[in-house]
Amino acid sequence: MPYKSVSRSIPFLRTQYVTGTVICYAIIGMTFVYSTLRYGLDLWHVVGGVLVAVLMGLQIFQSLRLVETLKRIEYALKMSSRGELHHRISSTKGLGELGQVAWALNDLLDRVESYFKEVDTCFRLVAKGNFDRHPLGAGLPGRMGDSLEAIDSSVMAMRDNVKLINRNELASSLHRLNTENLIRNLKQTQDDLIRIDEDAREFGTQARSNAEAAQKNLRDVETIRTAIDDITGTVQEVADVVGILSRDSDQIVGSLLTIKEIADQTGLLALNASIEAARAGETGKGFAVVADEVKALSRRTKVTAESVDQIMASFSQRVENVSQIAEHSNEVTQGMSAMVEDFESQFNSLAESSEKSVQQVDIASAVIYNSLVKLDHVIYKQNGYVALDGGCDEHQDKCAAIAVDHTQCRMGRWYYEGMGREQFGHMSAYRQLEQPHAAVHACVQEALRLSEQDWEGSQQLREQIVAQMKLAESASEEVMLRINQLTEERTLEGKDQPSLPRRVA
Amino acid sequence: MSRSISSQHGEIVLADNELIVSKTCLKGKITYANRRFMSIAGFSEQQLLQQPHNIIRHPDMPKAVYRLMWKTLQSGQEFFGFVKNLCSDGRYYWVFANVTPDIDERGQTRGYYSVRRKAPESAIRLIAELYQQMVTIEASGGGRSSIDQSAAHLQNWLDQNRLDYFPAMLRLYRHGQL
Repeated sequence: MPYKSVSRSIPFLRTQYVTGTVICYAIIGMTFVYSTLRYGLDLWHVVGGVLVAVLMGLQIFQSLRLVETLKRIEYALKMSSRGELHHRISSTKGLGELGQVAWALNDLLDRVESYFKEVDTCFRLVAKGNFDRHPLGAGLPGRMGDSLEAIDSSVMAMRDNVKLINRNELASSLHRLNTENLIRNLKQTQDDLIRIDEDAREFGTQARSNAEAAQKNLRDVETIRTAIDDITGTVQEVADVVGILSRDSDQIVGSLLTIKEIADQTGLLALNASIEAARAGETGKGFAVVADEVKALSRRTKVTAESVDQIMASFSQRVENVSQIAEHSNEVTQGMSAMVEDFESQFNSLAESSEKSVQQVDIASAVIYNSLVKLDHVIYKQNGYVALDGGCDEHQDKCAAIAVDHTQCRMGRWYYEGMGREQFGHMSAYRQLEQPHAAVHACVQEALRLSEQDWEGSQQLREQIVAQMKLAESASEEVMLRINQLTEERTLEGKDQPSLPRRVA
Repeated sequence: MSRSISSQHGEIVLADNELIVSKTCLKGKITYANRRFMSIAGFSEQQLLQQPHNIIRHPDMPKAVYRLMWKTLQSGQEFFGFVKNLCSDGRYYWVFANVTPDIDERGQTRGYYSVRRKAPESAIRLIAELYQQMVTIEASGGGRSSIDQSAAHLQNWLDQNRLDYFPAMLRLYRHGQL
């Protein structure tokens, strides 16, 4: 280090001491030479001169030490001004007042250096997110100690602030995640409800048309009954006509017998007439009798013939009647057959529509139940979010709900013991549902476990919590997808199923 | 400055606001000691300068603690610890030591800076018992493995209290208990 020994043309202490001492030595030397020449060599002069020279030597030695120590003090102060606080002044024994100055400076530097080390260390760790390194104020009096206390309370305020920010950060990440997914979940539930509503409407329409068809069927049955009554009456009439015809034909048989007798008698008469004719002579009397008999015969024949004629006319009328009745019967029968055919087809469509209604009710109930299962699942996640927000002390019931195993929650019981296994066990989506469902439980439980640690102070923990909830959400999305697939498959199965026998063959 | 109290058992107890300050070179030789250091240890500046710092090491101190200190300092971090120091007349004093690396303008470590403060009595009782167990472990075996065992004992003690070393020491200093 270059040593400038002059300031504003006044020499520094070292130059002053050295120059002064040289001058003093010169004066003592010259005085010694002069007095020896003038008064001769004197023992007192020699001893006194040497003593003064030695004392002055000691003084210059101390003076130089003083100057050297001052230089060290200057250096330490200069370096401290530059920010290097680790310089100290040692080896000042025997320097009295200057030694005290040096020690006072050392004490000051000790305290200042300690102060800055405390502040530096504390803030360096604060920058890394560690708020536990409190600055230690002991041994630092006055302003320095107060300042460290103030810093300590500021750091505590920063810590609280950071905790608050971190808490908000976690809460807002979770809230964002939850909102996005909750809306999706609700949308799904809404879709389910819309579907159920549509199904219910269709089901209502079907039921109404079924009722109308049933009414119509009832009316048709009434008509058929009337037609049957009609046919019964017609058949009775035909039987009556046939009875009359039978009697008429008996009369005809009787008439024909009479005609036969007439023919026989006419034959006999003809024979008698021929005999009488042979006896000629006696002509007048006998022949007149025969002629009377033939006359009477012919009258009877005429009457009989008229009677047959009448019977035949009546007979023809009866036949006409029978033919008409038979025709009517035929018409009634044909009408009935059409009616029965119609009735049958109506009955079939009624049966078909009833069957469809039953299927729709089945599907609707599957959709409703699946929707309930999904809702339960959504509530499970919501419990997770609520518990993460306030902690288990505040939400013991939520934490208890989350602790439930994936085989013991509503979905789990539905899956392993209840309707789920019964109705959907054979489907591939059913098997694919198990793993994501278990993952949702595991992830939410893990997030809750992490939240019991000091996440307010650890970015990493907060990120892990959000990551676990994200995993839970994506697993949950798969759960929803699989349940939807189950519903779809169930619907398709319902449509493909062979329906009830339609033809009452 | 209030005077320290010297107890019958040879313990010197520091006053609340006293600081014992010393500096060493990278090898642990003393390059500076403040006046309180000299007066409590009973050494003059000439007796201390250029001497290894373990001139004041007390036999009740476990070696594992010093090993931890050097490991911490060499990684550029500060060290905290409760230390029982030896006076030249055979008495002793407990301190809470904070040792930091001295870093110059160019970022080079020039030496170490140690500030010692009064340790709370309740903390001393707790630590003395732990140190005694560690010293017994170190005395029973030989060489490096016994120090390892002693360090493991310390770690075990920390694990039981569910704390890391530095937070545990700071808490003991600030609150006098864990």
